[in-house]
Amino acid sequence: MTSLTSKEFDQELRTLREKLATMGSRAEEQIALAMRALGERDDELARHVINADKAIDRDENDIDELALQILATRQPVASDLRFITMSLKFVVDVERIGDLAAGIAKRALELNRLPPLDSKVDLNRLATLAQKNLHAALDAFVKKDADAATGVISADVEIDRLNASLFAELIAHVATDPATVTRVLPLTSVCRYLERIGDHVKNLAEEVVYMVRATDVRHRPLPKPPN
Amino acid sequence: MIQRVRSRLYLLSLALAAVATLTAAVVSTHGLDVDSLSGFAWVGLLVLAVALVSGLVTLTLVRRSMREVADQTRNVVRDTSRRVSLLDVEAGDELRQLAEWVNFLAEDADRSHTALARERVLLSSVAEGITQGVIAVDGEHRIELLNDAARRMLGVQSTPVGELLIEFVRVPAVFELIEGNDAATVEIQLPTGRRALLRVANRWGGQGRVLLLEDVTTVRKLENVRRDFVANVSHELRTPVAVIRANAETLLAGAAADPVMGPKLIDGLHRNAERLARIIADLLDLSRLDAGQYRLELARVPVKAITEQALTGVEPQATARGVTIDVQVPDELAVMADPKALDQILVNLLDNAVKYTKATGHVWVATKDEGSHVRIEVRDDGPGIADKHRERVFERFYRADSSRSREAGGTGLGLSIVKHLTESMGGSVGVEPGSPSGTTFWLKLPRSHT
Repeated sequence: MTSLTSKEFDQELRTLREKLATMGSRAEEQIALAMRALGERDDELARHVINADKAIDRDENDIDELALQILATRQPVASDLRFITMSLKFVVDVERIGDLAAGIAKRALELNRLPPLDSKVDLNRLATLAQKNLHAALDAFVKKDADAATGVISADVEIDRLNASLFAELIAHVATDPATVTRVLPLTSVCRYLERIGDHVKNLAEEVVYMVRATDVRHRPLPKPPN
Repeated sequence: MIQRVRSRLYLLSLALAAVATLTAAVVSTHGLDVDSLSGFAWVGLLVLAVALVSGLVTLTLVRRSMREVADQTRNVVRDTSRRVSLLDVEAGDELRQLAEWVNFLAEDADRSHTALARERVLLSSVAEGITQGVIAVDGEHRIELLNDAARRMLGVQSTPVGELLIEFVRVPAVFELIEGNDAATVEIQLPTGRRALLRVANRWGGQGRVLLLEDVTTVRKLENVRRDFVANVSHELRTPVAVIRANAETLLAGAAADPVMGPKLIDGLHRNAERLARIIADLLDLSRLDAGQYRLELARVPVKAITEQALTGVEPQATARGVTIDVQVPDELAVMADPKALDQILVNLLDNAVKYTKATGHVWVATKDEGSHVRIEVRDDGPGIADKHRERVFERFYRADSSRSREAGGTGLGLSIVKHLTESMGGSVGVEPGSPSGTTFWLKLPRSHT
């Protein structure tokens, strides 16, 4: 009887882990699609991204429900308890990433109404970096690799730096050609969304470190970035 | 072995019997007195000693044989290709029977192992050979099999048998199907950007599941091309027909007598009938090319001469638009081609270049000797073709900018005819990325050396 219960418990934990990882990968895909809708001025794709955000919201509800059910029926302890409390925070961050990707798609729809901006500011570099970090954070989560997660935390500095420089470039664009302000403003929002995505990814990585090592690395000074 | 022990026991028993007979003889010859009674006790002790010794010998012999058989059996269990040796043992002996059964089991296990290994090799070569991706997981969602096609489609580098699937694949639909209870099929977008049909077969071996992945990217793309073609061909044909009908109706209603409108409407009739004829001629060319009925006769064609011939066809239009055409082709360069087809190709490419470059723009024709092939380039300094259109411009009726190209009088079929003709002559054709500064179409044809 006991072994049957523990088998069921293991299965629930596994399902929870899979749901978290696939929810994360959904968010990852959403960022890529939103950036493509922006780059290719594709209204249909942008609307698809906005619509697909619902799947991420649904994931959040499902995962919350499953985590609470495990808490209530199994009374987990130690690493299992850490994993479940972590998953409750994890979904919040991933759900926010999904919202921000949908936000990028909404800005894309606005920009598609306006003539294309002849600008060399390339937000894709920032998006690629954010996506790469999210991917690495999810890898660290499924492989329970605290070292990899720590790497993701320190990589966020790069995102902040790139965001600042892109933001300055966009503002400079408006300064030289004030007429472009209506087209540059949505782009500054996209820039900010990507930076926020980076922050949520950093949270995810911190949660992974907590889950694996049982140490809280939030609100600590960052390790020095490599030169 | 036991047989031998038994025979030794017989000998011992005989010896005991002999000792007992001797004792009896001694007792009977000496009569029964006190002295002889103590002698009798001695004889008894002797018999007991002999019995003990014979028992010990028997035990040692049996144990040694048993140990030997046990050792050999252990070796067989470790390596089923070995056998228990049957040397020095007579048939029918119990230990020999035991050894024979062990050997029989070993042979059976050996056969099963070979069959199993063969099946494994067969399964893996089938799995690796097929174009469908196969994912098999056990009840704990650990990977049992992830074939080459699946690894390629999912972007997995290693062969992670025994690892958890979630560590390598994070496609939500995959897990939804594994969790579900029924056989089902869904179409999904893979992280690599390709589209695939994901099918889950029924459970196997308890909780395990097998998933099949089929790449449908090309199929979907072709379906789109076909759908676009049908939509486009009807649109392209309907437009001139509508104009012809409207003009004819107006003329019939009395406009024929109108000195201003009459000639205008008739001109419209003429232009649209011409356009219809052009589209139909192009479509016929294409269908003949498709059916392989377009007969091409390959011969040595000097590139310079054929380019100049093609130029005569587009020069009036170039002059009208103020476009300068610059030809830089060496005299001696020649290709193996059908002269009529190559002329048609060059006219098409030059016509496009002249049409789509800006007014008073430039068109260049240049060649490059690439050894076995000659590359002919037609370049213009127009607005260029955006990346997303570049790979589709050779599709029938595909237009990068539909309003402009129809206005310029194109049928939307020229480039697909160019592609077909070039490929039928063993060549290739393509367009260089050049947006936003001009377009370069190139074609490569086999070089003629003689």
